Amino acid sequence: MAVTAETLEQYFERYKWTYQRLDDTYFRTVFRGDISSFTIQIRIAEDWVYFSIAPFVVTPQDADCERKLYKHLLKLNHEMNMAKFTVDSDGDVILTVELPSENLDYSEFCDALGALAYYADDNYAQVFVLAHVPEAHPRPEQDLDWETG
Amino acid sequence: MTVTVETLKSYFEEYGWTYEMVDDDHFLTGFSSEVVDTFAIYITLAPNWVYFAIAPFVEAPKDPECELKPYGHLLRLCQQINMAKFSVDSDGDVILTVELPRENLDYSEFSDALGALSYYADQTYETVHALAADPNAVSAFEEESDLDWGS
Repeated sequence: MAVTAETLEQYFERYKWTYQRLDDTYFRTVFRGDISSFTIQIRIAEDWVYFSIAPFVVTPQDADCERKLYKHLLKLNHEMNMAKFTVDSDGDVILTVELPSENLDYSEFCDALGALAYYADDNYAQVFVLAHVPEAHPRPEQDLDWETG
Repeated sequence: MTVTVETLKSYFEEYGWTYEMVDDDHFLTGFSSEVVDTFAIYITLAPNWVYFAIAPFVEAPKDPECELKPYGHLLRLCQQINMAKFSVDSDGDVILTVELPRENLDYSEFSDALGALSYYADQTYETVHALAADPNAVSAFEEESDLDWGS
């Protein structure tokens, strides 16, 4: 059975995060990380539920920043589990988790929010600097293994 | 229950694809395509995840001028595709991958993972390959942004 807005409300209550239900397909919540606060949008589509921080970082203005940033994001995609970085039509960086809406259970809901929170907090400073400071260089590769709970 | 090597073997039998065991944790399979002879798919059983990967999907751009366009294109594709993602490994090669939790991985998910990889590989290979090799190649996303009209 595909997940409904009512089911997501129950999951939020159980997860103990405040949220806004904007309509029957769209929720918003906020978490405070170590270095910034992040707004997570949750959208129920026909077959998928999308958990996104959008924008994670706004589009770079410098072409060299763009090249270094994009390569860094693709390398992070290689190291991360469950989540991925993308770029939208405005060039803004998005951090997202997508899960099938069919039978989405509470454990998957928790994992999606947990993964977004973990990767956002762990990567925000570096991604922001690469996007906006031409002299910046990516830090050495690291272990970003995310284990589901 | 965590999926085992034996479970994956039974899924392959049901799916009807041949495979070989590279070692205790790695399977190799593949499929014929209209755009290249064969795409090889590696399946890795890690402690918590099962990785399905076409690696390399496209080799690292040799010309530094060919880095920005494919990277931007891949990140735009990542926004449009479900279940799968593009990444770049430590050699700079492009990887197309699907990762699924090892716990309770069922046949339907196994089938979806192979289906998604096959579909996206076929749909995206030619452009990604061209962008990584030819500085004059154009991404459809660039053309799209050229049409952006701001009042």
